[in-house]
Amino acid sequence: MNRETIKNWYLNDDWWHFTIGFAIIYILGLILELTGYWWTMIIAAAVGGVIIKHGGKSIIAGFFGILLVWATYLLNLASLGYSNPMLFYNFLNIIGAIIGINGVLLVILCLLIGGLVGLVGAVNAAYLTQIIIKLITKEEELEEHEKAISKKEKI
Amino acid sequence: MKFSSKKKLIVKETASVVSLIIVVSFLVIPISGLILGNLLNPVGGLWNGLYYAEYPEVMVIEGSGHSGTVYRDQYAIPHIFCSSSADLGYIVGYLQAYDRLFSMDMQRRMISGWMASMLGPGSNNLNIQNDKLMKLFGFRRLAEELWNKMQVEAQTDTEIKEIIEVFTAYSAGVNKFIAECLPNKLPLEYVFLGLQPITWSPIDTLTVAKFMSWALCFNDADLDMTVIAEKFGKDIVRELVPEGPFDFEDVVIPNFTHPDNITDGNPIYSQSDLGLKLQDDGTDDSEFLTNIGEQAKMAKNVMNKIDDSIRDMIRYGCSNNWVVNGSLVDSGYPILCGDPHLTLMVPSVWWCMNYVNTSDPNECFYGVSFPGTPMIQIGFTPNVAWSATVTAVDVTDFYYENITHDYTQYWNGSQLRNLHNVTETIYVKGSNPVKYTIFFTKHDYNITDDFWCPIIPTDLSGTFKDYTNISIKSTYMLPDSGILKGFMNLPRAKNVTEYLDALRPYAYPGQNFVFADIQGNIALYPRALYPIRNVTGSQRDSDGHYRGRFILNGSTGQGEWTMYIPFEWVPHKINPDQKFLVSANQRTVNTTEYPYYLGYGFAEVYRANRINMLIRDQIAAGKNFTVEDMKKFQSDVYDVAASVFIPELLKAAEDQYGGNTVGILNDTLEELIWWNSSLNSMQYRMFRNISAPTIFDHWLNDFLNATFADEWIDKGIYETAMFPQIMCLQNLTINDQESHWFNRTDMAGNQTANWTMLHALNDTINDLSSELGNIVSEWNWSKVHVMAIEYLEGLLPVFDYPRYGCDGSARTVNVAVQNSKGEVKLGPSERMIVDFSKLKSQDLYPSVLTIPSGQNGNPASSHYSDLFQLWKNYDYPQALFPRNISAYPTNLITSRVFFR
Repeated sequence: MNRETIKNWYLNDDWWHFTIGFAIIYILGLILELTGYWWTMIIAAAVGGVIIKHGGKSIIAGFFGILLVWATYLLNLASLGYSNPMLFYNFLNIIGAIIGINGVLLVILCLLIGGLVGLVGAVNAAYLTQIIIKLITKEEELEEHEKAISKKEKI
Repeated sequence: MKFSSKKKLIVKETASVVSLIIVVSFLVIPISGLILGNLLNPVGGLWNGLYYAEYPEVMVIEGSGHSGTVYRDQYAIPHIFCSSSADLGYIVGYLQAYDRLFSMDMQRRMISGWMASMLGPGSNNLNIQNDKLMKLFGFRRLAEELWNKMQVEAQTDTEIKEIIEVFTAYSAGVNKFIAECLPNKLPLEYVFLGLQPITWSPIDTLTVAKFMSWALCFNDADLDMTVIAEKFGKDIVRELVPEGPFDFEDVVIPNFTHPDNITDGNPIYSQSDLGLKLQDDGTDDSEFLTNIGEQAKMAKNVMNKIDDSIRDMIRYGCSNNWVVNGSLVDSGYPILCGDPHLTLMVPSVWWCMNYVNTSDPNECFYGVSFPGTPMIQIGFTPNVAWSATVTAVDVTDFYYENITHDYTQYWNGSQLRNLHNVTETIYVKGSNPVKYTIFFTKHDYNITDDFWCPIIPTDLSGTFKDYTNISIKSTYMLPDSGILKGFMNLPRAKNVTEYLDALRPYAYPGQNFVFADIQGNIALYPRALYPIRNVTGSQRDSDGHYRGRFILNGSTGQGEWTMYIPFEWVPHKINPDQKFLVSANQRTVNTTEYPYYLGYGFAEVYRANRINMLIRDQIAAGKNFTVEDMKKFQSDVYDVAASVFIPELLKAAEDQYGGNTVGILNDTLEELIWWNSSLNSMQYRMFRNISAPTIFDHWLNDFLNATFADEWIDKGIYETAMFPQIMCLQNLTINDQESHWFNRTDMAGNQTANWTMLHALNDTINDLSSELGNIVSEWNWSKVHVMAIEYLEGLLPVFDYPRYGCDGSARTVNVAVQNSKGEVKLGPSERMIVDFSKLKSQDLYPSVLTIPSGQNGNPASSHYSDLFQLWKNYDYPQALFPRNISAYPTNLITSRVFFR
């Protein structure tokens, strides 16, 4: 891998970056979630955010990436019904009653919170990455890169 | 990509960091004690509740070194097929933990005095205070002593060796489950409270055994008696709490005449001279008594600090059991019934199980065990069945100690002995540990009583410095493993002889064991160690009182326990002429027929009277008994006290008012007249949907209060000493209308029973109308008599069962005892009826048995309340009792667990 390839990789934020970043958030999220610590989701999302770099795209990838991680685990739990297919539903009602909200809303709240954790993790990493790139890349190289982008856009 | 300017990027990053901080804070800062991040996390969060709610169709537990197969039935009751008691111990440990780990763990922490370490000091240091009490009674300390002693005994005693193996395997089973839970599959309750389970050890099981023994045999009434005697004189105690039975009392062992008597089912004794003199010994300790009144009061106030839920169980914990002979049943075989009354909570104090020994088809049983223990305490086998009620005999004494000024030594007779002390550490979450020193004396006149007796402190709150001069001695403190042998061997007994052999080593807690075998024998043995206090050559003091009813003078050594009543001499019955046996915690034996002191703190006799009445009436009507009859008896809510007091009250009202009443008084009397009518099928029944029970129960309390409160307040003991029993009030009302107790010390003139009854009725009407309105027909019992089954007695209120108004009273066979807040939290903790004809015919369902919760303590489980729903409606599941694995109907297997 030559220097040019690396430069292109970290100076661009096209959809490949998004796709790979999103996949990393999801897969790393699945793995780190096994530790049982919810804050590891910030790390998973941040790794994706570093790759995605783009603020808006990292928000989307972080939010939905971790939301999907948590949804996967919840689906896994819902399949634990054994001989009682209503188990998950009953459980939601009971737990919902404890927190004082509807059980289905509880699932939504859980997923939203997972998404939110991913969102802040990814977006922080994305902007931090941009700042670092700005700091470590020569001014001329950045200008050249931006000119090239403008040309592409005109074409 | 296009990069923003550095300035813009820094602004964006700053905003991102702020949002990160906000989100993280929201998830880590506790909101109403709950940490949202931990709770909502799909791994290790509240969703963990799903793991153990239901049972996988197949589970395989490997690497345990124990093997066996378990089928769960439709109520999740496990049927365990294995070939040794150690395998059984391991499997029961694993399964109990699966169903009840949190409640087992919490109970173990509570009785070990570890609550403050988990929950912090609590308001007014309540958790520390409770921990101190648990350390004072010393369940864990005593369990450790017993475990150490058992290690030595095991070298020569194969039974103890087996028990140690079972307990060790049981602990390993519990710990196997705990290991599977860690770190991210902890049961829901742990997630909620942010706790981790602590591993289980055999000492924990022994601690549970010590605690339950204490809860079922401890009685501090000696302190009440001393307080009352000091204020009113000892003769008053004799009047209020007589030595012998009232004429209306049915005793547990009727027609007991003399140990030599071999008629009427009394066993044959080998008569030998115990050297007991039964006369007054001439020693006068009345002066001693007057000097310790204040000490007794202080000690009693400390005892009153025992947590309400436990205290209610000690004070009102009660049970019923009875058996009828085969000649009273069409099939020719006995029917045995039992319903122990303990705290009603969710999950239940009991856990059901069935065991089949695959290498010995004769060894199988079905019954209930206390979670935390691998043995069943009540149940049946192919050959026998048994149930237990508390004997309520006097096995706890309080000693006055003459201690030296430097608090290092105490007098015991002519000996000056060193005080023993133990400093316990109470760990407090979020605070420094609290040191608590307990001082002990020893009362080992009888060499088997070689154990330390703790001295009661004057105060438990904050940092106390002082101690009373009163120590506690109770049989539960004995380092004796008889209880373990008893429960190990009861399910192995095949006939009445082996039943007696199984009970022989059993020392505490005192239980009336009702029994029947497949040969048709019935028996009842009130098993306990009954201390004899006979140092001076007499069981009685100079005033003719049995020693043991008041605080004993420990410094002179006159109240020492000299021996225990020999096993054969304890009143019991085998196949009595009356063809049935009944116990309901009432007086054990008629004191005029039996020479040795057993106790005085027996339960009110009304439940026992009613059961005897039901059985005698049916025999008189020439009708044989069926299981359906027994179900009706267990749900019976006829209040015998109402049948005594209501006619008296109505007579007094008739004399006073002559029918000229108006308004709410008239409505109240009309309701009681209707309830009193023999034409009424609801007569004296404490049904929830009528008003008369509300009036009666409230009035009875008011009547008791109106009779005794004035004297109690006068003497400054209202907050300290218990009132006399309703039985005493009945005796005064019927036999002594003009008794001085009815005469009010705070009023002029002479008041009688009639005056007091009507005065109390007036109080009742005022109270009820202000609480429930002025329409008497709307004073339904259900409005004030509310079943409150809480999750571990209020630890997690969101898991409680819904409350509902319920039938019964503290005096009905189907008991429902209210606490001081009016909530019913004590009742039939299990109901069992065993039909011996079905045991004989090897029927798959020989018994019915239910508990007031489900098997599973997880609120998300379909087995959280399934058995409770049946219990609530007086319905019973059939107890599935296969005698070998191939007899188990495969369509009833809901889950299989294989241990390899």
